[in-house]
Amino acid sequence: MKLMAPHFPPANQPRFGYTAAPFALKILDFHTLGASTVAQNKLIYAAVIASRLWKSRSWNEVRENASRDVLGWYSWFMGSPLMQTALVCGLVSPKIRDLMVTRLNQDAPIIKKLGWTFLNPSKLWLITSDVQLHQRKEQMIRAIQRHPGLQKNGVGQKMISQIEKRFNKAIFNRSLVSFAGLMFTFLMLGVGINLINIALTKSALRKKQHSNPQNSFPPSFSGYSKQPYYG
Amino acid sequence: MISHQTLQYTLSLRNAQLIRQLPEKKHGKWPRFQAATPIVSPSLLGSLFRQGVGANHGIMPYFQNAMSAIESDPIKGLIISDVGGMVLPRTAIEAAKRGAVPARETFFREVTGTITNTFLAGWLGFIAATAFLLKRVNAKAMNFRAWIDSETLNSFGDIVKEVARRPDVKTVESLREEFLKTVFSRLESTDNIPNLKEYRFLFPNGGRMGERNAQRLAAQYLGRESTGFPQRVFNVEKRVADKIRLPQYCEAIDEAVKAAYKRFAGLRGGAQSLSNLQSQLWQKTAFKVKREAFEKQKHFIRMLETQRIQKEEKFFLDRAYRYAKGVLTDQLFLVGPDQKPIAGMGVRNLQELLRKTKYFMEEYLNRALADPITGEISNKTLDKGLLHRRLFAKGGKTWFQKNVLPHVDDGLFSFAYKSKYFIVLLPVVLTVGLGCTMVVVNNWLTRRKLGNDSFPGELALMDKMR
Repeated sequence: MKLMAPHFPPANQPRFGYTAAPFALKILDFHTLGASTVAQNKLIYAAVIASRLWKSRSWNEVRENASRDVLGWYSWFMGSPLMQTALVCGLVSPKIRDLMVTRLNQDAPIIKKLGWTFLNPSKLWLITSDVQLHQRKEQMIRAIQRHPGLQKNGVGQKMISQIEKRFNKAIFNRSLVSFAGLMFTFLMLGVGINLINIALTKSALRKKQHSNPQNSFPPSFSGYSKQPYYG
Repeated sequence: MISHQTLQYTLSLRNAQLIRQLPEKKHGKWPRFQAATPIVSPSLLGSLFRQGVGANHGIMPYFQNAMSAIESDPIKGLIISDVGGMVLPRTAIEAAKRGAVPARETFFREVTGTITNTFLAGWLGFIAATAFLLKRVNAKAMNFRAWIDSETLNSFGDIVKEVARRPDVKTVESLREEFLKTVFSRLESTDNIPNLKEYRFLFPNGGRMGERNAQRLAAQYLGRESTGFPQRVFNVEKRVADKIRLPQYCEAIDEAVKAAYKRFAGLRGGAQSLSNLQSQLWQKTAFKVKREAFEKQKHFIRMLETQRIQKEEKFFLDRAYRYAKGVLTDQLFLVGPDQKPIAGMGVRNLQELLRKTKYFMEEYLNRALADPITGEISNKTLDKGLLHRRLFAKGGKTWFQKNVLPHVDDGLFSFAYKSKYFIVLLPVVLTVGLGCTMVVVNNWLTRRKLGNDSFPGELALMDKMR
């Protein structure tokens, strides 16, 4: 059978098209098909927050939604990285810190640095993952074992034990830092914002009640107390 | 039936630590496989009490593994913090402080939030990509299951252009090899350990792979260096061109032409012999029918072949990963020609980049370089204009065809980007719409319960204050 050529643009008419990906795709594309990305989550959650504010049924709900969801958005995406960066750069001992942090963009203008600190700390400090620490430890031990100059008088063995000690400590610290980041996010998202919201709504209602005790709550709400859920 | 060697190999890949020693043959037979004793004691509480809490003792390995799993994927972290930080505590607090109706509303809001924010776009994207298996929407038979994100695709495209401009790259083969070498030599681990003064002597290439390793890995990808597995980067076009000559596919094309002839003759009163004019008309129709049937079969074979290759690629990619892991770590930057990380790409996973490099070779570069008829990639002189057209040209006549609809005359990049509007952007827009609809649904459910359109959180507090 005679084979046929596939469709391609005609050779005599070069029509140059996309040499770069469209902007929206660069931001929102899947890294793995079927798994949404953090950038998509940020956009979708922001749109949902806007719709929650739009469909709020009272000023108290607007305030609750605004504080809970806007702070929730920030805590959800930034809480853990912010806490982890603060702990690694501030509390971990300098000897371990060297293994755990890569400093980036240190020559950027101070305004940019300030923005990145609170909005995208990984642009300035990239925290090494525990998998990377494990891999580097293995690579270094292998390199020392193969290094001919380090085999005399047990120098290599001493180096290996020092490296193991230092890296194990770093891996342990890395896990604790991850855990602290997760807990910080849990507390910020689940407990902190909610309790503050309830307290603020209560105080707003109290103020309303004190300012006009005769007609503080609309009559349409009165039936609500008969509902069995609030006995 | 899986052989014992394959089983051993697979297990060793999954967790080499868990296998203490390999069994030996007894009386010419392999002994029954027994689960290996894990290095870490399985009893959590027992370990905790016996050894106490400390690094590498007691509960710590479990804790470290759990943290490592959460940190390895940002989406996993988001899902866990969503369920553990929003759904459960917020519902519990609402139930305790304000009552059942606000708790119900909170639970519905947070659960639908979790689904729409973290899952739905991905699921819809997967469904859209499955729809692209159909020839009607995917005229170029691109395998979108072999997914490459736009930023990576863009960077690979830039590397192809850069390599093609080099004066020493004159042939098709040298372009392929140089492309792979350039990609691998530009992978740089994100950690700072190779730059530390005390360890610098152990990392002669810094955080990168080095020329020699990049060359060897490229040779493995091109099948020049044996990896022990038949899988490598395949020339799918050659496989398709070989397969379409098989009798079953030729017969299918002939059948389609015969059926078209019957319809053609039937429309003209079922005449056995056609007039001269009718014959001329049939010649034109027959060519079109044959072309369509040929394209249909080709589409079918290409889809079949790409999916088969994808199923078999695991061993090869695992091998490549283990090779690269000897010098790199799991988290990487791809650096540009200025030796700085490409800003938009961010931090990527080593396995992911190795896989995407393979997909890029199979779906884009090999396809653009292969002979359109025989599918061969011969070592001929590189036609840069043709390469550029086959990769980046924009097909179609109207504005809509040129900019939105994937067109059969598109270059491979243009076709992929246009298709991604439907696989990526459409699902995201639909998810945003559904997320906003859920807010309305939640309010409607509360209204049904209360009988009026009020904020239940406020009402419950009022009720308690009365």
